[in-house]
Amino acid sequence: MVKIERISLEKEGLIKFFSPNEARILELLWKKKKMTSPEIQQQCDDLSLACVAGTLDRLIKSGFVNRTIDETGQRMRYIYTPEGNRQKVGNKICEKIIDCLVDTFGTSTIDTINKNRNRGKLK
Amino acid sequence: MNGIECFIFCIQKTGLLYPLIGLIALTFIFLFMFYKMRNNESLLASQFSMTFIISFNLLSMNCDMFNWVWIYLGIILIGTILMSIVRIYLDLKLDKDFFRLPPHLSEIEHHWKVDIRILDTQRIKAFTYKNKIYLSVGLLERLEKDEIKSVVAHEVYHLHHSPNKFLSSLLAITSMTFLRFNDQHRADRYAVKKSGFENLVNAFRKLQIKDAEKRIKKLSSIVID
Repeated sequence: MVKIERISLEKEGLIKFFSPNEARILELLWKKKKMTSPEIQQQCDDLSLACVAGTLDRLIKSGFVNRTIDETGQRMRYIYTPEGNRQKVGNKICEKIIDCLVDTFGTSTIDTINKNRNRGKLK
Repeated sequence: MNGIECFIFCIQKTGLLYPLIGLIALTFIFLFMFYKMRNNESLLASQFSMTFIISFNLLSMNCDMFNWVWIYLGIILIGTILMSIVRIYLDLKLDKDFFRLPPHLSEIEHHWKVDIRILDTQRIKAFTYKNKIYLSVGLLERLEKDEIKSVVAHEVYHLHHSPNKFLSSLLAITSMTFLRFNDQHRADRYAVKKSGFENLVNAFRKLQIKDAEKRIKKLSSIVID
């Protein structure tokens, strides 16, 4: 889960940083804001119950998704909400990557970012 | 001097002959009693014969093969240590991070007079550990009350009739059969008897249990009979 060693720059979109199932569920949660697991399962009906459950547990553990327990009805159930929007997750990942680059290459990382900003690649 | 005489001579010198005979006899009696009480003849026969073979090997080997005793004891020791580590980890993990059963399901707990704990995970889990039944939120989310009752009935069977997992694993390792006690079918039958065929079948299908259809087929033949 956004482990530096698992980042695959050659992939497209969110799956650079997440597994395809994690990215799919995150996109769903960003869109709907609040979902139960049967609702998520319904939207990902090509995935098994165990697969969706495992992915949700991993997203919770890594802090990208929150859940609360709802016992109001005749059933105990989780309500899932995303921890921040797409931009917030983006910031979190950027910070992690920049920290890693600074750890390895020191100030030259910051120089490169500044150079790119001056060239107009970064705003 | 043949192998056995040589071995006995070696052991007599170390004073281990009578303790070793006693240990083997006790192992036999213990294995026999343990599985006989639980009416599990196949595993009993398997472990009984493997223990006999190992004991026979130990008793008939040559003096220079005395290391076999240490290898055997080493396997028991390593197995015990590994399983103890797993058990300590489970104790620590399961004693925190659990919920009580929600009020609308508390009658199940009262009916069976068992302590049911709810694990904070979306994964589908149902198991017994140290006289308690553990179910996951993921499981409760999926099932209706009657289906939850059938899952609990299945686990209650394990609680009261299945051998202690630690002990049965240890026995499997020490007798080198590497067989694990498996009484899922008996637990399924018990659940059907206590809460109905339909409820258990629905639970299996909703939870997408591995081998569900195989287990249902096996149960169907009994129900039809």
